[in-house]
Amino acid sequence: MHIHDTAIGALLALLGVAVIWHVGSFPQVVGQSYGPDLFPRLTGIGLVIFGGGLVLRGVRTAEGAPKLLTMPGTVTLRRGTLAALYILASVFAIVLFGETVGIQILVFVILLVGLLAAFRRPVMSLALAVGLTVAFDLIFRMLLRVPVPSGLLTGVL
Amino acid sequence: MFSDLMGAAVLVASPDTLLSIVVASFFGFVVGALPGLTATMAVALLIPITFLLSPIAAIASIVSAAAMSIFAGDIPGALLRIPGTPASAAYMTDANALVQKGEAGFVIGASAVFGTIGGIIGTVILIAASPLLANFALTFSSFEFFWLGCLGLSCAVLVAGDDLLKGMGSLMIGLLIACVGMDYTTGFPRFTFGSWALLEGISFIPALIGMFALPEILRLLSQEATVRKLPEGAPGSALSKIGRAGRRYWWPSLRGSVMGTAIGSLPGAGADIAAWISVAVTRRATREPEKWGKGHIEPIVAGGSANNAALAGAWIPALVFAIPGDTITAIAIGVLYLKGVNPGPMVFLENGQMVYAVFLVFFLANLMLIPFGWLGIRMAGLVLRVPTTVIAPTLLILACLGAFAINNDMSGLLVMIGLGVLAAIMNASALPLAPTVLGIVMGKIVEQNLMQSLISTQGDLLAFFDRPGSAVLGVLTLALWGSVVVRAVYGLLRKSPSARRAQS
Repeated sequence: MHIHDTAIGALLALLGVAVIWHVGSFPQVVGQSYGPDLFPRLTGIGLVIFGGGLVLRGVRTAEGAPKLLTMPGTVTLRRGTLAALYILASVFAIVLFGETVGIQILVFVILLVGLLAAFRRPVMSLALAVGLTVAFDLIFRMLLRVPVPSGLLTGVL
Repeated sequence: MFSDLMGAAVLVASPDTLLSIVVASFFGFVVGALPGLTATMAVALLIPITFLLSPIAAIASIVSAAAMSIFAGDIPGALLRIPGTPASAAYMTDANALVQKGEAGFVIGASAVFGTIGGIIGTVILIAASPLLANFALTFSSFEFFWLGCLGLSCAVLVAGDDLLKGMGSLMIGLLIACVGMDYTTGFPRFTFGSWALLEGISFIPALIGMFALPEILRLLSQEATVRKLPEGAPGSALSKIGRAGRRYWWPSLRGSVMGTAIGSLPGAGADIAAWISVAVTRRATREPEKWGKGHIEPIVAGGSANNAALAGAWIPALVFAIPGDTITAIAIGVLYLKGVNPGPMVFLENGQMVYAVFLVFFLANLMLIPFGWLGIRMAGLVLRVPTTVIAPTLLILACLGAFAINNDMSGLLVMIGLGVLAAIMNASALPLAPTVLGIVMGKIVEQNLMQSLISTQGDLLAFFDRPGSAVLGVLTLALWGSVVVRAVYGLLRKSPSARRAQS
């Protein structure tokens, strides 16, 4: 996937405008010329300038209307979408269910799904998922004392 | 002095100190090689163990773990494009490109050897110039720190490559991310959207994992399943290549070591900033700019030397004035007090043996990088033979656990995924990631010193040039910015529209 300079420049400039508008609502400090809005406002102005510069350059270098978004072929797009969904689903599963279900169970499921989908060897994937889950638990919870929530396995571990 | 030195040698040669150095080095190696776990975390995890040790063994374990974890942070960066520490992100692109050319042993070996050289040069400077450099740093006020921060931000232009507009746009994104959280002067929450987890700002490590690890995992998962068959590297053993790199790039290594020590000695500026600035300066001065980003050893030489030298530099103000140069020395000062050793100007008179023992420990801890570097090279062969299909889900779990471990809560994972999406969009737009990282690192420092200076002068901008130090730094910064603007305008006028089309 490729995003054209014009599109990303416009996004940056819009973000800059939104920042400048938003920091206008920040409170001013009595007796001071500058408040909490100063630095983000300067950053917003920078975003508008450099984003605007990218838009100008994009328009000047493109012959005719620029193609704002170039998508890859169907196979690459399908694989990429599935991969992105796997990553998003895994992270949100840990965030949402980490405390109740437990990190160890979720780690095992995420590994197993990922390995089965890509490795396509069930026995090997299962063995690897179990081994890696145990290794991660040993390293993070036991060795490094990271308080990973164990959820359903709290009494067992 | 001689009797102090002999006494120190006896202290360091004791079995408990030597064993502490070896065990802490191994511990630092493991922690540093895990993405998301920093040198500070390695040292913090050691604190309960230092209670049981003698004062010098306790300090030895802290120094060894810190030095080793900073080096080990280069390993996942080089092999998997996931920086173990923020410092290693500065030269990760070249390190990984070299690994893809089959030069994993060369990269890790060079990282260890130049880390050792940087550490040893830093220690020599620590011994020779402690009082002088600490005095210099103590004269700095918020004005000098503001200009120094601006100079650091200017490095964004240097690390961004040729495209100034994209480099600056990327820097602005980083600065905006640094604004998230409570305002320094009033405590007003900015861009937190009502989330308590964002009040303290965006956690740097989860952000780094999200920006570098997630796009890489996405790339691995999107590809056909393969066992990576890397090409054979250029002929010659890793050792001889390191020797050649040492002869060829001795000046970037020396400059990086001296700069790293000086930057490390400034309170608040640690190994991360030292590595970034050293790499940026080397990129500016290099005679081979065309090789950068495609697998070049020079940035690894410059950055690797600087980050380990900064570790020694941070001990200068810590030992002489009990002012920590970074979080690691802050922990070390606490441990020293706990052990009945009071750092400060009097420590050289009252506890000379202890000071010299610390110096000796620095030498030993840095020399330990070599055998552990060899271990890293052996490990690299194993990691690189694992199929990508196994690596990608494993990395995802490692990234999630690393992001969780930094604050021990789930907010780190949300930061990681948010910044991961941002990095994917930036990659698709060919916006460089390095200036954003620099903006996140330096943004808070620049803003805090700017606001502190403005409040102290009631908004008088001329006061930024009143003090001699700040005037010199200010003029230097403005001259640098001026030259960049002139160069950009000149380039824009000089390029014909057809040339621009070709470049686009």
